[in-house]
Amino acid sequence: MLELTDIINALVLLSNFVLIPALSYGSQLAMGALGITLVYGVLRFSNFAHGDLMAFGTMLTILLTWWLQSIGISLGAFPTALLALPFAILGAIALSLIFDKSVYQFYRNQKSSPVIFVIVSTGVMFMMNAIVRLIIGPNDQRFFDGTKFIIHPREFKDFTGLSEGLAIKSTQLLTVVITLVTVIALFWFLQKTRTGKSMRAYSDNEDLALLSGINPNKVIWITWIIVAALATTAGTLYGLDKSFKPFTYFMLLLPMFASAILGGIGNPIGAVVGGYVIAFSEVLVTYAYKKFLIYLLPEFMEPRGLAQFLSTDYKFAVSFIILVVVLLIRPTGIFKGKTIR
Amino acid sequence: MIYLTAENMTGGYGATDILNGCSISVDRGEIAVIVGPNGAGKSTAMKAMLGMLKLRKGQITLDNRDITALSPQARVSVGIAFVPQTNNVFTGMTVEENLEMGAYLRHDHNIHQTIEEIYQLFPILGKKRRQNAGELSGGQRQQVAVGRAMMTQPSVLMLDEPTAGVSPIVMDELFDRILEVKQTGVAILMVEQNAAQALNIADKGYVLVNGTNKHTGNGEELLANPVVRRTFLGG
Repeated sequence: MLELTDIINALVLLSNFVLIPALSYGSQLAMGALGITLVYGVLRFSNFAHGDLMAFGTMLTILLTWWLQSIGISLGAFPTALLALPFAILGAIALSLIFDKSVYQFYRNQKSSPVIFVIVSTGVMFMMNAIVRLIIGPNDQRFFDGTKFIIHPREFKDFTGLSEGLAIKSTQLLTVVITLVTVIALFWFLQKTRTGKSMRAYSDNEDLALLSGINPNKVIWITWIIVAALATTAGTLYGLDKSFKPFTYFMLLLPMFASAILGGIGNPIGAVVGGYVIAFSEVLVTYAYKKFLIYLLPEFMEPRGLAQFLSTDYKFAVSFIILVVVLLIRPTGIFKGKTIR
Repeated sequence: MIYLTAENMTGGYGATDILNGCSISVDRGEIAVIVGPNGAGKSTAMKAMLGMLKLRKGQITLDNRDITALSPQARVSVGIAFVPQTNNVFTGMTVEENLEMGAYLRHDHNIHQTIEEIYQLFPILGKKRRQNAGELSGGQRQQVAVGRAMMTQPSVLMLDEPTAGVSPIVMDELFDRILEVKQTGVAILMVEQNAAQALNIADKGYVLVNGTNKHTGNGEELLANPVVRRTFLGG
């Protein structure tokens, strides 16, 4: 017979390995995809350097964190990286503006086609790639400190008497809370402020924005500032949650683009929704349901294998398939973004 | 001197000239209409007056001030507003946001008063203020476009084929609204395909052919002119 404790155990297991990880991974993707979508909406190109901008910003956070730790400054229960983050954001903004002024602006003045811009951004990607590897190297870096668990699995087990322990890491909660605050602030900015509206107007209809007296350079600079801030925050949260490795950040480009395109590229709400859909798909498809099913099914029906749709090695295939299907069936995405040209 | 005057405009986009010594002027509280066959340079003439086309010869003055060298943006800030023929609203923004963006150059605090004035002029916009401009009908969109242009409180309003693609009923309504704008003392310059109807409300008409003035006169004169009727108005 199916007992209540079995159901609860199954649900705790699912929260531990699917719900909570997908929620925090989805938040990180959402913030990354927001950056991609803003660059596409305002500057009108797919920015392939976005993953490496994230890596660069995170690298600055790590270096500053190490320095703060070495002089004995910490945030107690919170990771020291949160203290380093604002300064790292400033560094990432500076790098973005330098690349805009020295590279992208030239092609804007030439009125280059979007394809040229994509290739140019690939060049910028290689440069950022090299900068990060020269400074911090290609290896895995850990920079998390502070309290690791908000809900500790063993304490949860002792407290409830369940055989499954619920685990919520502080980095997971931080990720979700910071994403929520950032996304609300960004939407408020875009919907309610004069500058935010001018960004939307410029993205909507460039010629009419110019006729209305909107300064294109100001809009572009503000876009880079927001994009660099989002990228650094997303990268730092991802690094705290897992670990920092430049190559991993480059690989994040695929799920982030899939999120932005799935939601409708150029549409900020779409980027957020897309981030969560991609994260949940990835985690749901690569999770091994064996233990979960053992709790719920009668003994004779228990699975012999792992009950896993796809090995975690293939997790990027999920984003890739979603990306291809969306581009084939509904290129404007869920929320009717722009079509990729 | 007439309020907005363009004299002897000559120039084009490439090696060949589209405008060949064309002159157009309009005073405040007046409607001037540019008509002519396809490719006559009607829109080009208007764009030249807005500064979107570099002229080889000619001079444009606004209130006796030479504005020939000013960029389109600079001309907007001295009081010329322009309603493009297509893509003339921010489709992803609400009607009210469209109007706010029209006032982007203004830094005073009376923007909301101007928005209310626009709603009085175009009551339908007031009702649909929270709706995205992209969801409106063609005629309503044109009203948003004119409203957006009016937000700078311009002294000159230029309209590039405002009635293109709208039904005759909507066209009549738009022309009524444009006559109301004229009553406020704005100088209005229009390029129109619907020549007969446009000349009906015009104080002044210019018939352009190959980038030069072919016929000039007040609306009634041109409508009564047999040559103009036969060649441009379809009999």
